[in-house]
Order: sequence, then structure tokens, then C-alpha cells
Amino acid sequence: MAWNESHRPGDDPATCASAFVTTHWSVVLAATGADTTKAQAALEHLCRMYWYPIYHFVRRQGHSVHDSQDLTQEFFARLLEKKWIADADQSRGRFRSYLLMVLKRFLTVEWHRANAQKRAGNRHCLPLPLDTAETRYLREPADTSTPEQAFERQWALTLLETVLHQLRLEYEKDGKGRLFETFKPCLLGSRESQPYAALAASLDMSEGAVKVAVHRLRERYRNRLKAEIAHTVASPADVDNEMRHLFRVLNRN
Amino acid sequence: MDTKPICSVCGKPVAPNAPEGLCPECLLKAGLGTGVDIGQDTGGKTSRFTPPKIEELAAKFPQLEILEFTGQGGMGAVYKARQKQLDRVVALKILPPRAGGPAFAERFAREARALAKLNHPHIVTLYEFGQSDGLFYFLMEYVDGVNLRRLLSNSRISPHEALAIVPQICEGLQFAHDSGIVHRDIKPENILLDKKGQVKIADFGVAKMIAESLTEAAEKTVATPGELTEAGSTIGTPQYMAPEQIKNSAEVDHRADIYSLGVVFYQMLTGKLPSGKIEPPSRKVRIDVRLDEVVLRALEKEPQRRYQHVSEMGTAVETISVSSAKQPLVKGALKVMAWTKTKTAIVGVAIALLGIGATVIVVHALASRTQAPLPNDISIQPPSPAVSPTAAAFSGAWVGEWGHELAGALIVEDISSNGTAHVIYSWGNSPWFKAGWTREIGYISNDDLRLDTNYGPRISYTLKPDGTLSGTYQLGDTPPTFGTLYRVGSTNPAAIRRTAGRVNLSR
Repeated sequence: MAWNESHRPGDDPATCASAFVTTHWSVVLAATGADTTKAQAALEHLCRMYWYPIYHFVRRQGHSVHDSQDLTQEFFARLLEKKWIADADQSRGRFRSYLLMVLKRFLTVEWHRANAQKRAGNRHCLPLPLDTAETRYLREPADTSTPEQAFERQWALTLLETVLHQLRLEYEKDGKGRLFETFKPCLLGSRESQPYAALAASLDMSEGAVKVAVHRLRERYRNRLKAEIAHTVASPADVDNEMRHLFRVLNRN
Repeated sequence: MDTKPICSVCGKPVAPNAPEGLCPECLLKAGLGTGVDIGQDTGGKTSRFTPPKIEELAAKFPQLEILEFTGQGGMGAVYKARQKQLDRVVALKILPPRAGGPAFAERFAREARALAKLNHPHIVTLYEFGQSDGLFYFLMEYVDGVNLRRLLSNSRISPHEALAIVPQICEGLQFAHDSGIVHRDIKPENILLDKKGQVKIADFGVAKMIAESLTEAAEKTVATPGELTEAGSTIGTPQYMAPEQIKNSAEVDHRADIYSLGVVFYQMLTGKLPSGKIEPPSRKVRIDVRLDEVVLRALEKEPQRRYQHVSEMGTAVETISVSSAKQPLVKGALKVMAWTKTKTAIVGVAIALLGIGATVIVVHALASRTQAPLPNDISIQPPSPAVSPTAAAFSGAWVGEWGHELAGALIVEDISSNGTAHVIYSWGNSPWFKAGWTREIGYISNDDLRLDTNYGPRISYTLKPDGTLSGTYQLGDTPPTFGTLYRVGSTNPAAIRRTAGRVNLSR
């Protein structure tokens, strides 16, 4: 048996490169002065997905619930006004690093100015479910990490939640919601360690059919996870590294 | 407390905010796929060795049930497996395939036979070795625990624990040396700690075998003289290797292991690797100064200047830890003083480790080990480092009301002689401390503890020894409120959380 890594479908560099042009962060980075509608939409999409780690970070700084909501909203409003994209220098590679960098800057410098001026109307407000934020925040277990570490952890959790949510919707659309719910635990652990026989018995399916269903679910999950991560990095080569980094982040605690 | 659900794969507790109720670490791990190197060690070079897939292994080892891939190092890939006949869980280690001829196979067998005779509580036992379908493999004792690398990267090991771990390593090493076997690759990854806190040294002699097979292979091709690395994998880890080993790995004796152990010991105490002009550990961390001698002697560049037997080193460490157990470490002394002042009736065991659950179990087991009988000669105790009254006044944990939210806690971990304090603090609405903890540097000024937050709302706290908290606090239109902080007996954040609800702040 060969020791080389098996060739995975979809590893074709040509398709990878073209697929990447349409991922969000690379679109944002590639935006020029001329047509920025696509970049704007991409950035909005990213912000609507990752707003919670921002709220968490702001809250961790000691701001009250009300102020945290305001600050979060204000932060995203400023971000979408495109004032800071040009500033993305070394953190350009990852949307995650970039976002944290500008957030910290916002909180130290901008915060005072924001407090001084009254907020004008006509701001580009992102519709964020900020009223649910605090409930979610209170559910977090207490931890001893720094705010930055907590931010990265929330980032990883948000990513996983989004991926699983999308996966669930995909299955529900095909009328296979119950299948997803049943086989969900099979996402964890190795392929070999799954209780195929037990599942087959309880679902009145053949073991072969169970194996196929589980395999498909795991594969779809992996693909979605990689795709979502790809949306936040600048190039295909970075996906694996980012995934490893997030694993280490979660492993830290 | 309500029991938390745990993950069926990794055994860690699953938080209520976990995505779809699944363990997030395992989810990400699943995303990476099996056989991919997570790369806990220093990143960079990836070895060309791709570990075989589980299906491939199952075919080659019909007598085993391969359970899962557990990790990979420069030495090969390790899997958790079960011997079907014996119904015993074992570790299966597969060596990277090399161009080893029959001479290598013969030597491999001879070495492995010697290793198999190493039957010691502190050495990972070798059950079986051999070749199966071109693959060299070992079947070893499976250790359910963590390795020292994991403990080092998660949290600092306390001197107490280091003093309990090192003698066990010395015992195992001495046994091996007596049997004529040198480890040659002592490093944190090879020191395992099982759930009972027992040390198990792993990967004995493997380094030598690999080195020999590579030298063989290299001699067939053109090799750069003195080169120890082979396209990405390093034999022996440079930071832990004795100088004579780096120069010429063929001629080293058991004293090289002593050097490596010295490096590990240094790292356990200070959190850093010794480098350049080695700074004595007692200057970096509050430990018994006699330990400096032990560590530095093990780290002597010339083998003849080191301990000549690793058991000597072990005895030296045990003597020091026993005699210093009579007089607790300064931090502990501070806590005792703090307790007598506290008005609340909280009794907390102060394990000031902010680490994972496994670490806590280890600490319990290790702590009991230092209760050895007193030696016959009771040496004179060195005077404890001078502690300023202010340090005693602040060290430990406080809780109270502050800011404009309900409650907060402040833990002063460490006060140095120049008056800087390591502080972690937390605040939040009820339930307590949901906001998490932030780490800052405070400083003693005019007998008060001052703390300025780094960013966000500008908060400056001033804490007096009697617990009065004052300060400036800029946060919108809300006026700041401060109060009085009260001492609590534990510096464990989780314990503070648990007990905080029972504290009657209004006394």
C-alpha cells in the first residue's frame, strides 16, 4: 500500500483557484475603488456570521450589557463604512486576526470619540440579534483565559455552530431532518469507532446503509467546514493551517 | 452541583453552549480527518512519514483490534489497540519504514529483547516487537494519561509537582542504566503521567535504533558528516540533547540522559528552556535555592562534572523536597496568614493551578507522594525570602462589589520584590463571574495595590490592605460605584465561583 497521501477529489489546483475568488474574505481583500458592491456584500455576510465573538470580547472588557450592544453595533457600522479595510496589513491573511485587531483599536481610540459624539442617524446598521447576545453570554462557562483567547475560542465555536446549522438545514430540506439528528453524534470520533451495528438495529436499517449514510454525513460536514474556513482566509493553502490553529485554540482550555 | 455531560470520545465535559450539543474539540478534530498531524510540537517541518490508515493496519495485525490513531512523533506513529485474545488495551507503535537490511532486523530484535526486559513501574513496558509485512512495530503498555509536554503547555507545573515527578523519572532511568540501556531521547513528550500520578518513561532505546538504521541507510548514499537529521525528522530533540550527543551521537553514555533530565527539570520549574548563560531557577521562580545546584549540576557541559548516577540526582531532589515540606513554600505561608484574617468561614484547598481536570487529579496524587519519612541528618533550613508586609496583605483572593455591576473577584497571584503584582480579576452579573477573567499587572504603590486596565473603559482601581476599593471608572453616564472587598480562602477561580454564592457580603 502506498505511503503517499491519497489524492482527494477537489484538490485540483485549477478549480481551487477559481473557487477561491468567490470566497468572502478574498473578495473583500481584492476589492478596488471601482466596484465595491460585491466586497461590501461579502463583508456584511462575514460580519453577520461572526458578530458574537465581537460582543463577547466587548462584554469581557467590563462594559455593561447596554453599552456592549451599542459598541458592537457601532463597531460594525464603522467597519462597513470601509474606513479600515485599507489598514489591513499583516493581518490580511485571516479575517479573524484582522477583526480582532481593528476591534481592539476601536475600543481604545475610537471608543472615546464615539462616546463624545451623539450617534447620528442614517448609519449603515447591521441587523444583528443583539438582544439574544446577553443570554448567550451568561450561558458561557467561566474561564480563565485572556480576552483574546476567549475571542478565538468564541470564533471557533461560532464557526462550528454555523457549519452544523447549515448542515442541518441541508438535511431538513431533503426531508432527512431525523436522519441528521440521529447520526449527528457520528460526526465525532474515528470512522471505525462508530456504533454501526447498534444504529442499524435501532433504526431497522441494514448496517451497510447505515455506514453509507454516516460516511456521507461526515464527508459533507468536512466539506462545509473547510468551505466556511476558506471564507475567512486569503488563500487555499491557509485553510488547513487555520483549522489546526482553531483546534489548538479549543484544545487550550 | 449538577453533573455535566461528557463527550463520549475524548471524555471532556461538554459545555451547554456547545454546537448541537457536540464536543467542539472533537468536531474540529473530525474536520481535520484521521492521520493528519495536529502538530503540537514546534511547527515547521513535517516529516515525510505518513502514518498508515487504520484499515491497512488491521489487515497487517489480525490479532489486534485497532481502536484509534493517537499521535505521531519523529519516531513513528502510535495507535491505541486491543489484543483480542487477552482483551487488553495496548499501544501499537509503527516505525517509519527504512532501508534496513537483515543486519538491521537482527539488531532491532536484539535491542528490543533487551528493552523487553525493562520491567519497572516507571517505564512503559514493552510487550512485543517485530516485523509484520515490512513494518517494524512495538506493542507496549498503554498509558491512560497525559505527557509532560501537554502539562507544560497548559499550565505551569508547580515546584511541588516537579519535585514529585523527577525522583520517579530517576528511579526508572537508573533501572534502565543498570540494565545497560540509555534512553537517549528524554524529553517532555516521552514522560507520561497516568491518572494515578505515576510517571512512565516511554520510547526507551528507540532513538538509538532509529539512529543506527539511518546511519546505515545514510552510509549507502552520500551523507553530510555529522548530520543528525534526515529530511525533516530529527533524532533526539536538540534542545534536550547533551552536548556530547550533539557532537557525536554514537559515543554517549548514560550521563547524556542526566543532562536531558536536567533540561526537563529546568523547564518544569521555570517554564523555559535553559539557554546561553543559564540563569539559576531560583532567580526566576520561588523555589528552594538548593534545587539550583541539582539542576545546574545535571546541566554541566562535561559529562564527568554531572551526577555520575541518575539515582544520586533523585536522592538529592527527594532530600530537598522532604526538608522543605516541613516549611511550606512562601505562597502557602501567605495563604495561612490570609486565612486567619478572613471573616468568612470558607475552607478551600488552595490548588492554584488553572489547568485542565487531568492536571488536578495528578496534583492530588503527587502531593501525597512527598510525605516521605524524615532523613537522619536534618540540614539547616535556608532563611525564607523576605516578604514585605504589603505582599502578605494582598496575596490571595478577594471578592466584593465594584464597578457598576453586582460583584467581582480579584486574585493576586504573585508579588515580586519590585512591587509588581500579577492579578487576575473578574466581574459580572449574577450568576457570579460569568464574564470571565482578565489578567493584568498591578503594582504596589504607597502600600496600596493599584490596577489600571489596559483597554476598553479606563478603570483604575486602588485596593487598600483593609479591602477598601476605590478608583476612577469611565463608562458612559453611569456613575461608578465601589465598595469593600473581602478575603476568601481559596485562589481557585472555580472554587471562588462555587463559594461566592454562599458568602454574605453584608456580613
